[in-house]
Amino acid sequence: MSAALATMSFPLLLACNTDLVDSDTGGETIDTGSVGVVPVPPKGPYGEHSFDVPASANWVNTGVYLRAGESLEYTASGFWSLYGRVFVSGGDRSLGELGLCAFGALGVRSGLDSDERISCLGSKGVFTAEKEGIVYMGMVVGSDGAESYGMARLSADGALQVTVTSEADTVPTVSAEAASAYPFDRVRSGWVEIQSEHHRITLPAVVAQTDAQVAKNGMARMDQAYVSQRELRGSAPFRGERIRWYPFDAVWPWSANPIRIDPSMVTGNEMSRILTSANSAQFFTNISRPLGDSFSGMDGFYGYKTTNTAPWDRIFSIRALDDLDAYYWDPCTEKESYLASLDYEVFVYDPYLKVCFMQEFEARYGDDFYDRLFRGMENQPTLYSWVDSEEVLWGYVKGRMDVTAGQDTSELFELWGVPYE
Amino acid sequence: MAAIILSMFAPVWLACNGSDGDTGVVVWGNTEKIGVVQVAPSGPYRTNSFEVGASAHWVNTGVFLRAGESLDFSASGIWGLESKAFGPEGDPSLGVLRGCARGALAVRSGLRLEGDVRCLGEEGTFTAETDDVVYMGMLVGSDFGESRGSRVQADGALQLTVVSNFDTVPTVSVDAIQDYPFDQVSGGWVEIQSRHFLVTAPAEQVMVDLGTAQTALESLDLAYEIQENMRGGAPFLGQRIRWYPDDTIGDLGPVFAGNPIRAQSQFFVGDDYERILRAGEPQSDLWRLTHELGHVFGGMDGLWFYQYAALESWPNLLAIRALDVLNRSEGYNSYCDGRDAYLALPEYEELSADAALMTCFLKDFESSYGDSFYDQFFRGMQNQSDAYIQYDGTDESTWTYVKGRFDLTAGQDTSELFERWGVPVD
Repeated sequence: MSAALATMSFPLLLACNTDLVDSDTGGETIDTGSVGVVPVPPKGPYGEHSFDVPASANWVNTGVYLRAGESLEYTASGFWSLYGRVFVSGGDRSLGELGLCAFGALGVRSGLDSDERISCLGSKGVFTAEKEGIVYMGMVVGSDGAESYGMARLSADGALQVTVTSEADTVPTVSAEAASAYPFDRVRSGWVEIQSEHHRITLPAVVAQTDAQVAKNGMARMDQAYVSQRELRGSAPFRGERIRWYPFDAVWPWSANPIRIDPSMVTGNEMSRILTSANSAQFFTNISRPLGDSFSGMDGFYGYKTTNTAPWDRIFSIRALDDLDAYYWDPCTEKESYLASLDYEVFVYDPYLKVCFMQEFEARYGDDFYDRLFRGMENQPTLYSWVDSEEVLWGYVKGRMDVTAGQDTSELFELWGVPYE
Repeated sequence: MAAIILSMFAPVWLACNGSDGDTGVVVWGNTEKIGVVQVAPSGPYRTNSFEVGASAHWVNTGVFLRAGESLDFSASGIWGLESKAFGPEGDPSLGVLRGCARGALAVRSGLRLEGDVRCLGEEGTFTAETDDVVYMGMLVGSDFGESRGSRVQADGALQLTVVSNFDTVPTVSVDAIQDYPFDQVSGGWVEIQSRHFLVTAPAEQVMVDLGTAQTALESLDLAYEIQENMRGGAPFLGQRIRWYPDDTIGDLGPVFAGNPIRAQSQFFVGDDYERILRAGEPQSDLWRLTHELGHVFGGMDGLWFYQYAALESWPNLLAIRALDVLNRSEGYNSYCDGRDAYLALPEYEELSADAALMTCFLKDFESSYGDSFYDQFFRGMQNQSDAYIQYDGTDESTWTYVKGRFDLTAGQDTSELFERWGVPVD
């Protein structure tokens, strides 16, 4: 049913995409989802490629890798839209500005490091890189922070048709299915993106080569986690667009699209690399939890978990981990001692106890309790204005739990000493 | 062609629907139940338990009460509206309306526009002041407010038990009407249910229309599915839409769209041309029914400011699509008769006052940009909001927004058509 819903919700986006064939990956057809993939060979010259840049896309990999001082030429045509306004590649300054760019402008950036400088493009011109990196294009909708949970692009639609010409090197996108046979050693830029049905990973080609034989299974496991969480949530974040995992020195994986992850998850040892995640000994929570953050806060609907993000992420994470039969720490190891003391200060700062508390609702009202709760959240208003304390937050959540259970759930809140108002 | 189209749409809603034997008992829309209470053709009603979904546009309890007759009820559970959760008493902090807290469990005799509504608590007795079908539902606002998406943020359900010794109002699946004993319906009223509709009608009139009702509702169901396909979704969270006889709508016209769609009595007991239960006959008036349905789809989930400058023409687009696919457009395809004369000397005031001519203007975009132009347009509207339109009371502000959406849909500047027709944009 979730798949049917997703298909119904985004027919235009899918219809707008063209399946592309990458001859260097064995000629397989890649379903591009709602973000175009530019079919390029392992090394330059890039030549000329035309592709769509949808307004809703969380940055399109142009397939070009530019070193500092190298350039590309581009043309852009068509219309796209943000907040109900329709315009061409220059955007609409009345909607806001990011640096020198109007919101709604066609933006270009070298890499996807957080708040990397974005240059805005017109209908035709030259972009010269100031630093080395993969060249991404997309609609400027705000800072990278504003793109968290997909909310900044919710109203964005339409697509520009872009043609890029360059003599520089390339960044191929390779299907996980074809990774085992792909000539990663010929990728002169040193970078590739590997994609599965629901994910896309940006990584050095040398790592891709190392993990080429396990990439398919690793990403299949990530896809399974995505499907588990989509079933729990009832639909998918970022309008069903693939989620990109991008190496960046972040404190904690940051749930925008891309999910910016510690570089060790890309280039670290076998127990930490994302492509080796099919290894059952790996701690898959590192993947399933940031994914859970994306699902639980999707479309900018995250007010209900503002001061309580960790337990909600974990509810999603645990669903995926259970489905994958993967290991995770028992969140209830401290349950008995907590219930004996009911020291709320302990509860507040222990996300595991909160998860344990929330799991009690599944035990009492059915394994599908949170599936039902999230179905009821689909048409809920956001909560920005009045979530100013844990008590208020729990008060809202209790209301949703009452509706889901069809009865007053006060007893569990009182048993656990969780205040609500 | 219809068969091909049908195979492409509505899998979710259809998959959620269920029926129970010959009276089609359970109705589902999205995750919310709109309970239909299975009752005998005649009373006594006795005891029935059922759910009243917060998002349901009034549940037929199955009871028919005459003035002075009563029912006893008990209600339990919790339902929600606009971030709040509460029981049958509602929540006064959400506002007080029609004498009741918003969110309260309410009861009414009939569904006439802005008719009396009484709020109920957890248990008690309701005594009718007029003879009518008894409906229950969450009080979310006025009946006018319910014409669009006022229940979108309502969810959950209460469990009701109703006890009465009086007459019944059976709900009968259209597939089972041939064998149903309508002559035994002592309450005098029934509701006929199809895939997407409920029709509230006098039992004796249903007997008159037994030979045409099935074809009529099949035509309407197909029209619904065609419009759903064009619009890219279903209104009222996919709930069945009720056609309800209401002569009090008066100045609003013969039909007032919403859920229910309130229509004057000629649509139920009038001549052969007008009756809903004859809508499948070649000579009947399917236009007005599909037009009203077009209002419902066009303004789905409360998104309707975009229509302000052509409020009666946008539904025509949906109606024409349905009639074309159903091969019923003959007699309804004259909307462009005045086109050439108008374009010779275009005056927007004339266009604005002529819904048919305005329909012709809108249809010109299909001619220029493809038959699927509005299908694509509506897909793009799914994440739009009335707040984006910057409506300032002028047609110009609405058309400026619409032109932007048209540019986006066409992938090019559509100014030429707006200029040719003299339609003002910024």
